[in-house]
Amino acid sequence: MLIKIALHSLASRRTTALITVFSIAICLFVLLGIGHIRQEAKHSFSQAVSGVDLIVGPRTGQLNLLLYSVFRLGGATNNIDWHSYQTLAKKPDVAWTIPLSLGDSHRGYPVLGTTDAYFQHFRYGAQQSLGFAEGAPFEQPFDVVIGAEIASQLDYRIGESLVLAHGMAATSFSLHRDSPFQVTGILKPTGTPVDRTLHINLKDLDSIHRDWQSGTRVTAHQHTATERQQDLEPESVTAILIGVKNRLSTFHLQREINRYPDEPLMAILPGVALSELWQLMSWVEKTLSFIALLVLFASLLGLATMLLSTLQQRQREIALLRILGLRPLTLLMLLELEALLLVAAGSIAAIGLLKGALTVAGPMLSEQYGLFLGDQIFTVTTMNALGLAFGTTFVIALIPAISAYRWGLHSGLENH
Amino acid sequence: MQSPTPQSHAVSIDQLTFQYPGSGRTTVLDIPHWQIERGEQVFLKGPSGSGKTTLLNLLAGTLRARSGTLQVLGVNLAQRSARQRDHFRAAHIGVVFQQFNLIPYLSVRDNLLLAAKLGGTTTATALERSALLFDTLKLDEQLLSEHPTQLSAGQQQRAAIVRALVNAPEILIADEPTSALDSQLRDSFVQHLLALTREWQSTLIFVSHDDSLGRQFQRVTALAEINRHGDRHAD
Repeated sequence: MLIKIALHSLASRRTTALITVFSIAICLFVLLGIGHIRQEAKHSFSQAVSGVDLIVGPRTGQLNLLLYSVFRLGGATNNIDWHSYQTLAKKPDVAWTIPLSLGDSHRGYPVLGTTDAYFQHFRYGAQQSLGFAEGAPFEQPFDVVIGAEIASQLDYRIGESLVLAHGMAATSFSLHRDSPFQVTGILKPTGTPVDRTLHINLKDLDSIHRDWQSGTRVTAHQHTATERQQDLEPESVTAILIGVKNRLSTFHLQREINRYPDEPLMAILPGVALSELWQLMSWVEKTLSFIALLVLFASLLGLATMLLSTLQQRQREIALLRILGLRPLTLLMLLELEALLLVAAGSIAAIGLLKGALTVAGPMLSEQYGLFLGDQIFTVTTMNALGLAFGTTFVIALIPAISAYRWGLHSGLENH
Repeated sequence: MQSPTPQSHAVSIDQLTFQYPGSGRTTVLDIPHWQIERGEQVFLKGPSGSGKTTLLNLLAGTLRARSGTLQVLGVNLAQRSARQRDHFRAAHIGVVFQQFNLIPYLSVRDNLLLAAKLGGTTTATALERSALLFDTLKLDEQLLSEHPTQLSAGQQQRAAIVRALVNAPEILIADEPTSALDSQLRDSFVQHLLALTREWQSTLIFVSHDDSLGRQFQRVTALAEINRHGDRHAD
């Protein structure tokens, strides 16, 4: 009965109630959204690479190296000489190496030059290796293996012919038109940046750049398969992923690489770099959450104000309810119920907004920032946030509720 | 302990005095003795400031007497807790106000069912009673699903009687119930009220400053006659 009264009472003040619900919904949407993105980002980042003991690159920031080698974000400022790569690969502690060469793109998706070792040794998530949905690793010159998202977004199949662009812009004018690639393999979805990467043989990447200097083509001629086979080794790579034979030798190897005499190199531990990245993110996340909480608090105060101001108009209603035998404590509960119903409506709206936003913005986020957001939003974090919202509402709504209680104590038949 | 005794008076007052807390001990009511028999129809008159509202609130249990005896249906309300008085009022006392007798955002039916629920009457009984009352009061049953604001003033006041009688209370307090009605409606409203309370064997305490209405009552009491402090203070 009380719920019915509360609902009808709110319905009779639809406009103010709706505005209140809306402001609560927006605050909760921001709060839940931040929490969700944080969780999903953490998941997505920690899934992106596993089983790699060291990442080696030219000397730069630890985060910069992690971002471009694993997440394909930002760019390398320098390259590693091929000779250095070979020296490192032959070190006794090293079990395997994956050379990575970045810089080109295809319709905004990054192109990665690498070797067969990538398909053998690269791991993501819980030590999962890359699987092929269709086709096989590159074998012939100008073969390309594409990630699952590229295949579905651009609708590419095995045998599709495509042209790479020089640089990372989605609408690049300098295309490697004379060297078309053919899709030989499509990887299974991983939920990592691999899904958005085109993988080609390092040697092919090198050969299409042979005639290029400083970003422009100097001569133009058709590349042939025979020509490529005559090619020498690549000149350089952007980064190297290393697996060691014995975990204990990781730090030793890291020191050795950092002191590499021939050129300035650095080796990072992916786990350490990830947690540093994570700390950086969590600062932003905490600040945003704090702001969202303050705004939520403000909008709940608005709700209390709304209830308090309508209370003035409800004096006669309160007197009538009291005469009918409704106890002052029940009046208090009625006001609490009205507040909680508004917040419940706001919560439902916020969850709806979040679902909608994820559907709309999800693909964009994964494309632009490599964030793979799941749509599972009913997590412990979400529930905690909602619980907090309801708890705060209960406390704040005590202000009008206690006023109603006091009105109730002193109302009865009136003077005329 | 809550239940009224059948052979008791409807109202029995002895040495009742009342001061509002914090009013500097100004006595508003001082009634040495006053009784109403069961089934009586009493017209209580008095100008504003005579303590009428205070007396009604004491009878309804929304105010608590601090000294003297105030027995309603044999229950000494002065000795009951606020909770017990609320419960007692819901079940045994019906009230018709001057206006605002129905919660505006609930339909007439929901208003009746709310009163029934609080008074401990089942939905079935309440609907049965209200059907009877609607018939007697010449109210269209279709009004049940309307909201009070869609009713005319006369319809609202008649619906108020239905709401007040839905728990078949032993006592019906009508506090200036005709002030919002024009003179034509006023007489028929009072007629209805008298007939219904007689039929339902309820005690009627009808309060008005309009002396002309008193002619239709068996008993007319001026508050000034029973209250020794009535005229001196505004209430």
